[in-house]
Amino acid sequence: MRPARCWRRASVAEPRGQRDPRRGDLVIGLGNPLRQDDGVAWQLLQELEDDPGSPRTAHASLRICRQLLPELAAELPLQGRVLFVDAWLQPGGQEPRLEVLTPDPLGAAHLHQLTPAGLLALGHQLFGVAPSASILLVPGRRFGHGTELSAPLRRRLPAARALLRGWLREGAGPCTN
Amino acid sequence: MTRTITIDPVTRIEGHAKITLHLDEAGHLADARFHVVEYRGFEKFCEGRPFTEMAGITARICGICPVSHLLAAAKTGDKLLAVQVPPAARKLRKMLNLAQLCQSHALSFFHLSSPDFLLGWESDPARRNVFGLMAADPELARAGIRLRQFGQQVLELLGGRRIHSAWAVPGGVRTPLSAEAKAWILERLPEAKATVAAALELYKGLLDGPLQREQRTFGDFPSLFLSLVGPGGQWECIDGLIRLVDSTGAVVADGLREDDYASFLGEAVESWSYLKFPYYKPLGYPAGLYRVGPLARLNVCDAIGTDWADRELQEFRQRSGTADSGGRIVTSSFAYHHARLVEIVACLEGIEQLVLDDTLMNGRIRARASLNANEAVGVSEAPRGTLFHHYRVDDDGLITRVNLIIATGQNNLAMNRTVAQIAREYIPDPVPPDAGIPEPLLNRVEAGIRCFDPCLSCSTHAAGQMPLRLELHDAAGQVLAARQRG
Repeated sequence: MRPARCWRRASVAEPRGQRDPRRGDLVIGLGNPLRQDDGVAWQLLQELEDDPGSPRTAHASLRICRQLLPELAAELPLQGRVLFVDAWLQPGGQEPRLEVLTPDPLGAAHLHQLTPAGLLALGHQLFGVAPSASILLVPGRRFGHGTELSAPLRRRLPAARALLRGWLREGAGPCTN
Repeated sequence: MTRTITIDPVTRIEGHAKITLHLDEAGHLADARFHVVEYRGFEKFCEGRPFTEMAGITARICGICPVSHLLAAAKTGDKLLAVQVPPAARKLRKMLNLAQLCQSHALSFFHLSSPDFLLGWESDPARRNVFGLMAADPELARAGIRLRQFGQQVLELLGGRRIHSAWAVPGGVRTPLSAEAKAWILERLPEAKATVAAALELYKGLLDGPLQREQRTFGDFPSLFLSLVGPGGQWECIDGLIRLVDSTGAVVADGLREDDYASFLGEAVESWSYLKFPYYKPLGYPAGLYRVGPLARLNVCDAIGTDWADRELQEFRQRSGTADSGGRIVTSSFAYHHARLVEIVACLEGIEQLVLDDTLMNGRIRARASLNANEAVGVSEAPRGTLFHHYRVDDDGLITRVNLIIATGQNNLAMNRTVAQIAREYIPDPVPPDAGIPEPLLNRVEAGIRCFDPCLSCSTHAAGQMPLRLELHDAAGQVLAARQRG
């Protein structure tokens, strides 16, 4: 069945070409703060919010969510860069790391299981733009019920913070002070 | 030989369910049942918790309509405190609910239901979903996503979070409307309105064409309809009193208070589903079947109260109203889709009116008190229908008993009847023993359920994930074969 022609005549504002005052970088934290190490992104992003000396400047927006939703795709084309922050199920010995992300349509196969790469693919498919994207993976050990981060993960928080803040500093550009 | 045809799991609704169709010995459809196999236990594990936590706890019943539980819990808490909520707080709560309705209805129409309408019942099931829609009509998909984003962003601007916000509390709300929020809402409203206008034009065209059969056969039967109404019978989403009308448009009961719900609503249980079966007590079970949600709200109200929405309401009735009601009442469950779009219009116009009210930025927003009652009932209109929260607390404010009557549960009987009607319309009668069931027919049965946009996680409010069971029954009800997994 072909889409009804009336839709193409509708005057719906397109995000392409719109200038959003928040344009800059977007940090999206994922995870469930009630599942121990799965809440690490909430911890890291809350620290950024609370720290007046953090490298997060007016150019960086923060989003924290339990799962990625298609509506986030509407925000992607307005960003210069996107960083996802997520816990990483690892048996042990790994350090936090930053990886480049590329759009992957397979990651958008199911509304309730949208991956960061899938979200990028969705944004690209719908809006024709895929911002430069990375993911900060923080190794976690415990994902049971609870709000406390495990000791192994807490030991890795300084390294995770350094990577996060380093990424933000890159987007802020050279210091002009 | 009897056969049970099972469609399992039902895709593209929130939660999990099973549908069984029971044939008699002659191969005729004897019965159809919508089984809910989720069990979660909120009503039990909330016992012992402070009632002040109920807003935060019950909001976590669901990630799609947490605001509905938040508001019902806050209203119940208002009564336990015996406070008068300031007018500005009432309006802010209403704005929150309007945004909630908008985003939920947008999800239902664009993500869950329109793939059927626009890609066709016979299209590849692997692509007949929101991602197939994005490939087929990216403009529609984009607009739908941004419409839902609008609703969610309003929730965040008011409540601080899109999901599981703790902003509405007993006595009022935590923060007023900010200037930033007001500016953002006013900037994005025109686009949101344009999107729903285009969606309505699209849908009406389909209704005049390929969807006529579905409108006629997807759960078109007489029933009662229940919802809140405001003063003068206006469409209402959070305050007001309860009204029931029948399929002729006659008012069966009016001015009912939620506190008295147990006097006019009963809750039956069936062995084959974890979902309760609410019914209108004066008519008994199951004759007291009633529907709630967008279709019911539009049937029950006299008018919506904003210009565009009222014009759409009039057209809704003219297009689909029954002769028995003089065109006043729409009985087809398929019309829930149209009703959702009309309600999005009502929500956007309502938000526009409220956001221009300066008292929402400057007025008093919370009344405070200690516990002053040991039992209370709160009600709100969730996207799927009327939601009741009933708490009993001890003198320390700890919950001793909770009863939740969820919107989707109240549509339970109607969903079963809808499934049966669709099955009779689309499945050959009698069903040959070796006949296959084409995918489009299975999808229509599922789609009939989707008309109600059921939220099953909410409706069963229970714990854990249960095993799946498939049974084949003969005409005498004996189990001929059974298989279980999980």
